[in-house]
Amino acid sequence: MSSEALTHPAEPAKHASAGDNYLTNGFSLKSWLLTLDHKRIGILYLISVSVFFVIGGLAASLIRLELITPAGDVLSHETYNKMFTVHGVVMVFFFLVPSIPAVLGNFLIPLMIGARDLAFPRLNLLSWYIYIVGGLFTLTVALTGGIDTGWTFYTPYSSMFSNTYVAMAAVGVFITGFSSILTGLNFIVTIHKMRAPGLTWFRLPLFVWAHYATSLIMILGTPVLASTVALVAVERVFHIGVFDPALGGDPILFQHLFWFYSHPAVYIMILPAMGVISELISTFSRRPIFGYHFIAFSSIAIAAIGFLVWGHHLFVSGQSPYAGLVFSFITFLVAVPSAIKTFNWTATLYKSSISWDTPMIYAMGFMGLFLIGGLTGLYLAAIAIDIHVTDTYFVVAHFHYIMVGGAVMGYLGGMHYWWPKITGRMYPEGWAKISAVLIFAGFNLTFFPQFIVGYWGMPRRYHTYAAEFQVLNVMSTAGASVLGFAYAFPVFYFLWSLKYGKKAPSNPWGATGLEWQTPSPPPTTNFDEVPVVTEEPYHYPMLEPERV
Amino acid sequence: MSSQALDLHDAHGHDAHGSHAHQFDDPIQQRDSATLGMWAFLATEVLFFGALFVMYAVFRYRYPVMWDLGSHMLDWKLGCLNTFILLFSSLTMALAVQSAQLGKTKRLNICLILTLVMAFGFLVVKTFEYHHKYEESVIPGRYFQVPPHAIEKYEERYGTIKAPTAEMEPVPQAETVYDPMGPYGPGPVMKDGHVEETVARRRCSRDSLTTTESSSSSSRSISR
Repeated sequence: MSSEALTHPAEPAKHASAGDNYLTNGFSLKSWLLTLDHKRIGILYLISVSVFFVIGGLAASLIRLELITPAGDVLSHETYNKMFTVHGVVMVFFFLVPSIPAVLGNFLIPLMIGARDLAFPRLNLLSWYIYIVGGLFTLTVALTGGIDTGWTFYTPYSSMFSNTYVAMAAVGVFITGFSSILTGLNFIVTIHKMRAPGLTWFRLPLFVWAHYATSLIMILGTPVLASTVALVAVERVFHIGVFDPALGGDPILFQHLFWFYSHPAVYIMILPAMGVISELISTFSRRPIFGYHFIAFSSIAIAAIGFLVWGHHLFVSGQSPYAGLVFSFITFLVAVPSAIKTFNWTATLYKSSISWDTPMIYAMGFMGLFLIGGLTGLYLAAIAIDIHVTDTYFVVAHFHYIMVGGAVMGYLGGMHYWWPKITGRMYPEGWAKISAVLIFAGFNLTFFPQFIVGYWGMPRRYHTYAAEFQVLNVMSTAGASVLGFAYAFPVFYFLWSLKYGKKAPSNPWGATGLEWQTPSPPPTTNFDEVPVVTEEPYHYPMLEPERV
Repeated sequence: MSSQALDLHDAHGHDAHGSHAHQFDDPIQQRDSATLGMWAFLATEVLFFGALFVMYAVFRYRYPVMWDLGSHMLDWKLGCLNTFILLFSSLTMALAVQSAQLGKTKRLNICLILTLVMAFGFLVVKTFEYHHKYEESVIPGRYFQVPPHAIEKYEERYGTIKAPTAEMEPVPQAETVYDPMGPYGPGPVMKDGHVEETVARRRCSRDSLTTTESSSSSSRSISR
């Protein structure tokens, strides 16, 4: 690839004038819906993912509204069950899994590795359409009556007893899985084969390493989920006994197959966020990242070990206690690479010159929340404690600290960091800082009380609860209101900035990385000339910020 | 200016770059990417069917006698024929690809037609197999029935089946032979007698159909 690429720079660039970029390259609806440009597909994903986030968020606000009082007074128990299912299915499969990879990863990976596009642009567009079709199936289910199984679709309730549209929701999840598989496949091939000359594996940004690990999980885990939900649908529609004991099936088999994907899916959500945080920490402390190799390999380690821990979701299911012991031990092991990352980020910050721009506030928030989420994960890895808190709000709080405190903070931090690159506009820094702090505060107010109330024994997935839990639940709902408003801020100022924001220079943060060496927003072909990489990543002391 | 760039984009580089798509530097990179992509896709397929293989292994371990019985309900001649058709059509398809690479159009056409013919042949054989199964009501789901010759086979190998009795509903507790994991284990290993009861119950599947439905609807009301 190397020498020929140097002598023949990307040809369409010759035709592009200085002001031409991927946003001005055609304005028709067709030029967006049939685009093969990874940057435009990233924007398509950004819009659709945001819509699903709003839907999942509305369901969450109804749940919190119901839980202000111990009695079930806002929603009937059936509606409540449907609400938490919609919240779970939409947030997991249609927001968290595609959020950072399909939006930021899609946009940035080719830019970061100096490529003109992903390896398979048509597959990339296809993955978005598959995602939309799967989403429409799920939305149809939600609008025509919902499903009440929880996002976990546990059998035999889901396959034999639930009176809701389980088969259709399963089809929706099945279809969407292939969108994720195609994205992962595209990333793996692109990272292997499309790197610019001089960009060796250990010169790759850690964002790219994290996405490589994520893609491995996507292509190896998602197919298992697809065939599992397909089996649920088959059992439900044709009454073939796979999971239902009354038909000779095995419900524990379902849990094994389901969590074989769905636990690694948590790493699909958190690993890209960790990649974002590695970029942010390094940029805003103006230092090379501490322990680059360790962070890079810890991503791979998390992906690999993550495939061996699914049994910790089955500690109370009737799984063999010996299997439980092994799963418990391996679950503790996942903490090692996670801690390696956290310690290395902290070491990067030590004696550095930190600037408190909005993305850095998100990065710091991420570190605090991920620390709590990760440590409580160790509580849950210990069988004895897990049996005590299984299916309580302790678990709910734990995974929200990882999925919202971790993944969503990382996503928003990344959105703020790369927004100038994506749109060519700066957002209003003051509003952005306020909303970042409000999100951090609102998040903690929402979910920290749930640790306490869960440890006291409040079970999840009920619309009523004992009266002594009310104070903490009211706190949680108050926090959720703050969180809801704080999440709305970025929508408004991001949209505002599209028209009124200051024009962004090509490198507003003074960051290293190839994506900052091309204009903001980037031209359709990404680089006018194929870049040649001669330096180590995060080469910070050499750079001065080019402030607006 | 912008439309010009768009045209180049839509043409996907065929004019500007000759034999490779615009995102690649040269045909070699494109070929390498396609190969790696195909291997990655095959990995996802292995995992996709992996779940089904796990299911197969679990049920084969759970119900060994059923598996033994089931194997006697297959027509090995038709199965062999179809395996041969499948493998041979793979060969003709591979030859077709090779012919395309060598530019031998005539051989390419012959190979493709042969592949298509065998695809239909496969379906024809399957139609015979499935039609026979359908007539015997060996179909997935609630209308499944054990055909008489399978029951004869069973009795020949494992002894006479008792007549079904009223106390066989609800599902009888299987007798534990060996349960290494205790009450938290994956479940008792079934004694073969369990199958005999299952077969007996399957005989009157129409009656059990109604009882299954009433029991599931009662569980529905409990689960509310």
